[in-house]
Amino acid sequence: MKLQNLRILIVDDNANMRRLIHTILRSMNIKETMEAGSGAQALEILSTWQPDLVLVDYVMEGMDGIEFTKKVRSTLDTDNKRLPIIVVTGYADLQRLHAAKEAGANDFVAKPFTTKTLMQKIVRVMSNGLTLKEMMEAKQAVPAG
Amino acid sequence: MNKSAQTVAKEQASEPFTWSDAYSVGVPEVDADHMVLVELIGMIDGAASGEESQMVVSTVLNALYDYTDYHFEREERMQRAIGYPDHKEHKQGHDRLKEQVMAYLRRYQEDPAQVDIGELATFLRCWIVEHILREDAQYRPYAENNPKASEAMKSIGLDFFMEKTEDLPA
Ligand SMILES: [Fe+2]
Ligand SMILES: [Fe+2]
Repeated sequence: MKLQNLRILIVDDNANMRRLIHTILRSMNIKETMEAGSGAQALEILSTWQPDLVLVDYVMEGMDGIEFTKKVRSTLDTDNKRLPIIVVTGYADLQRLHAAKEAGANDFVAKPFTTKTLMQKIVRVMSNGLTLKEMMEAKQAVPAG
Repeated sequence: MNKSAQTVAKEQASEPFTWSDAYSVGVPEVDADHMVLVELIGMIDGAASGEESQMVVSTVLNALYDYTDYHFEREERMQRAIGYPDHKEHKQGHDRLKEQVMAYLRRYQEDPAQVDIGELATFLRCWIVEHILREDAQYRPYAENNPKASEAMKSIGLDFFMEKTEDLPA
């Protein structure tokens, strides 16, 4: 996986945050991005453009990041293709982490994040493709003795 | 000749802060780094008046710190590679600037209300413009058209951001 070749869809209803994420991704040399201001707009984009990864805001008017993730998992994903999704949130509590995990997200990033954190999460998700649920199950599956 | 850094910073204080060709130091890789820093700093004003402004400003400051760290590391290696005689003093300047950004970042994260965003944006504009025009411009005669400069810049890549792991609140 080459970071700079990734195509990333940024979904956030806050235009400033969208621009900022775009700039941060460009600082990582990632040039191919698209922006959506709502979950509905993001789904529309996904019907014609196939990104490698989606960064979606948790709290949005209308369809939120969790609902968006569930929609993608139930309607767009096929057996051999799972779209990696990272949920970005302003309040990182256990409840939200749980919701992101149950919806089928691959990871969870708390705002304000650093470039390092975001890059490390992207690299992790793109290299093993596991969802939060799968990672937690894998941790629990360590044989006891 | 170049305008003084203060003149440039003052002229731009009321306009959006964007890249100017006057900031070029003659090495494309360095200019590209400086463009990222200018773009991040330029986002602060707009972010301050919008929704979730604290979240956005904090994230800009984080990104600015990370990218500054990366850029300084590359630029310092480049200066040593081209035999720039003042590289030690230049590094001391970098260390001070990094501390200043870190101090602002901490102050903002502790209590955003005590930081004046307009002041912060102006400080950062002056900071970058003065450093580029007064300090970075000095190595231009050694770096311009010197293949060693580009080579050294490229020798530190994005892996830099993968090195140190951050402690994230669970
Ligand atoms: Fe520089
Ligand atoms: Fe410098």
